[in-house]
Amino acid sequence: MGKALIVLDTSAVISLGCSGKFHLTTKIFYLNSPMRVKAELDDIAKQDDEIGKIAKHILGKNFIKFHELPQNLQDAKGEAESVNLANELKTEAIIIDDIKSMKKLEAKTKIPIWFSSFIIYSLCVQKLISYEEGWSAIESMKTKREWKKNLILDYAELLWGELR
Amino acid sequence: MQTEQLNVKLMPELNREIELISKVLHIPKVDWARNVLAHEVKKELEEHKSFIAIEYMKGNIPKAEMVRFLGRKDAEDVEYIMKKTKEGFKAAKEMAKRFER
Repeated sequence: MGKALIVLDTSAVISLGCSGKFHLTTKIFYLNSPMRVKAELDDIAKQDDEIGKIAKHILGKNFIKFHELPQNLQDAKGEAESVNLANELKTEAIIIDDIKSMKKLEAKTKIPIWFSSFIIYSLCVQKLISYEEGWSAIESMKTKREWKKNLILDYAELLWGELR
Repeated sequence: MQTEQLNVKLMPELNREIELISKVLHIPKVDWARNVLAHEVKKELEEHKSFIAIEYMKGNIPKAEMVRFLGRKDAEDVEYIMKKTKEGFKAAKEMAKRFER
């Protein structure tokens, strides 16, 4: 099985970190993020809570290749810099778990932007995990987040049931 | 900031408990009650919004009803989530085929 090049923003890294399947994603994807995302993850890793521990673990394992972008492509927001990086690397997809940013950034790239449920579903269709494991990974990704962010996962669960 | 008033009669026991919290936290009891109320209203509202959105996603209520409860903007976001998730899953299958050895 070949590997696809993708870019993750901070929201996607944290979601996938909560899934407990992050290590498996590297078997089918080359994971890339801009330095702005690394800076955001560094900040999150300083928090003394579950999300902080997840960020610290992911950074420590070097699952993601972080890229320094030229100054004209840098941005104050990780998701915008992620799109710039994807355009530079010509990746297969960009993974973002934020509806507002996703809608706005779709106009700035021709590369498809998907939610992190795309990654979990990919692990299933490429038989790295079972559908049951995929469903429970999606369930684990539901943290104390804004209702629309959890809705992304609620709908992924509904589709999961139909696709089994 | 424009405000509106809500008068609430409390049981003496609850009032004493709020006064105690107010002393411990060093904030006026009205400010504390306002913060707690705002937090709970937001939480309750989000639970109801999620319920309506999920019922629509399941096909149990029509779009017009979802729009009536959530408003146009949130309803559009719900449809956007559905569209992007479906497309993402389809893309995952296509990508798996393309990268198969």
